[in-house]
Amino acid sequence: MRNYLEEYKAYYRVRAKRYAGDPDFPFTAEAEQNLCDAMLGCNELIEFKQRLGNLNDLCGVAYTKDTYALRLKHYREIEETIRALGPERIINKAGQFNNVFDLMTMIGEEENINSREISMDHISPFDGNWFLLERLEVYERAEIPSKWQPDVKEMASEIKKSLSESLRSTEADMQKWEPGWKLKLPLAWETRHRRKLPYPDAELKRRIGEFEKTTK
Amino acid sequence: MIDTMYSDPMLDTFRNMMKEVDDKGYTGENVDAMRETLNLMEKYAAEMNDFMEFSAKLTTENLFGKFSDKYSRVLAANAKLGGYDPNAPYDEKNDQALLKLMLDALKDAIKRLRDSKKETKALMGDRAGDVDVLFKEQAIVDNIQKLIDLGESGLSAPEYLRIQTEKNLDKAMQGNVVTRDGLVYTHNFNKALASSPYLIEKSEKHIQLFDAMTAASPIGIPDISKFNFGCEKIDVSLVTEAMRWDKTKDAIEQIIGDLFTWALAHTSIAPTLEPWSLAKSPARAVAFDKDCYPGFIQIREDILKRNFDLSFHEIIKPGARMECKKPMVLVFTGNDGVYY
Repeated sequence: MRNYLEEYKAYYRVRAKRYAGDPDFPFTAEAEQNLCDAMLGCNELIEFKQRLGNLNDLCGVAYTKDTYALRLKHYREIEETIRALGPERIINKAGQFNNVFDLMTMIGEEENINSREISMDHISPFDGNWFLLERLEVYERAEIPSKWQPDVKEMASEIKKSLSESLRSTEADMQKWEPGWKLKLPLAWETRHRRKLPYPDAELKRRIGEFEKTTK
Repeated sequence: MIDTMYSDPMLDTFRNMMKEVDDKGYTGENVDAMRETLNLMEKYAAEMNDFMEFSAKLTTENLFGKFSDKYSRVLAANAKLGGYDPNAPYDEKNDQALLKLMLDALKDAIKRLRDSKKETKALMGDRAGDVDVLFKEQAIVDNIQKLIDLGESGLSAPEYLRIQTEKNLDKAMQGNVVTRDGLVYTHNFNKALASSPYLIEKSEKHIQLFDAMTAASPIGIPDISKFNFGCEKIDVSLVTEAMRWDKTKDAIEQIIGDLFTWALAHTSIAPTLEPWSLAKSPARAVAFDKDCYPGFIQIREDILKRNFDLSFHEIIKPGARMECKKPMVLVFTGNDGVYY
């Protein structure tokens, strides 16, 4: 005759052991131990239903806090400050929840918000058109016979129009997602953007100046 | 109204989920909430004309998320418990019914994996063979089957759960074997493509990280989240050098391309060649390039020097070697052409 109570106690001990002492899962370790203690305190299996309460859901909440804490730490280490906003908010809010479904709803909402924040965090009218800025410099500085200057001036003018139109249309598109969105050139100096621009600081400063002058 | 060619692919999935719920006769406030959210999506599709605005509306109002959330709650509330009765005494019958529930879910998972592969192959048509190369599901299926075999070996439900947890069989079926195969595939692809030494270095380091984490894991399975974080750290450490390599190559190719254009403009057949032949006056277009390209190329050289501290003239001296941190050796040998 099986002793289901002892078998379940053995299972919950093993389950708690998985996270015990794991420095990356402190909340999970505590929640799993609470669940285990509830089982170990039973004299009959039928008692577990009452002792269980929402301890299982609290294990889910704890696991969420721990996994998002790992993610937050990671994004801070690599200076992805916008990507870190979602995990930060989720961790701050997770403690308010004592059932997994509502917790998952909150996570879904916050990840949706963070996904938009990440999409809005770009400088593409500038860095995506770096090649146009270089081409503009070529047309404006090149020494060419005077008879061709009107043609080259026209080519330079077309590039300026293209840069302005690119900025205007990008801002119009982004404003469908975030009202009032405007290109923020100082973002170019933020680590997450700067590391994708493999040019010396002097060149970046120069191109920012040219872009501002051309598109104002 | 949004063209159904665009709105249908977005909304069909949710329409099918709504139909599934209705066909099964589920009711309740979560079902009502699903219907309300889908109706709102349909309303926007009918009333709006700009697809990007429509897409932004659905995303900013989190309609996909809200619908999916309610769908999950409907499924959970109506989950079939088979013969398991949570309100009955926990005896052998109830224990085995609970165990069967768990094993049936695993059998269903194998079926869904195989069905998904079959559907993908059907969609790929005569490229179906690619799916066999890209999606090697057998390793995952084998690990799930191990759990099923364990469950059918005469254990009780708590014994099964304990052994599964002790031996980490639940983690084994998360697909880590397939992950490594995918990493190796990507690395071989990057080597064959040979478009950038940094892509190759990145994929090589991903595999090394995976193997190191596997070796360090007490259960021989790396934590997949930590592995992904490790890969991101590798990518971030290489991104600036990789971009510098790409942009340097682009700049050199630009100058060489301009030189080629300028040289070609001096041939007698130039006006008959594109792009000059497409101009209103091909002869004028040729004359423009002959006269202006030297000036353009000089500025390009200046930009190359400012951006990457490289002198184009030094690069192209016969027998010269220009090496970046990674081997992008450019040897210009005149009539023999240019080699990378």
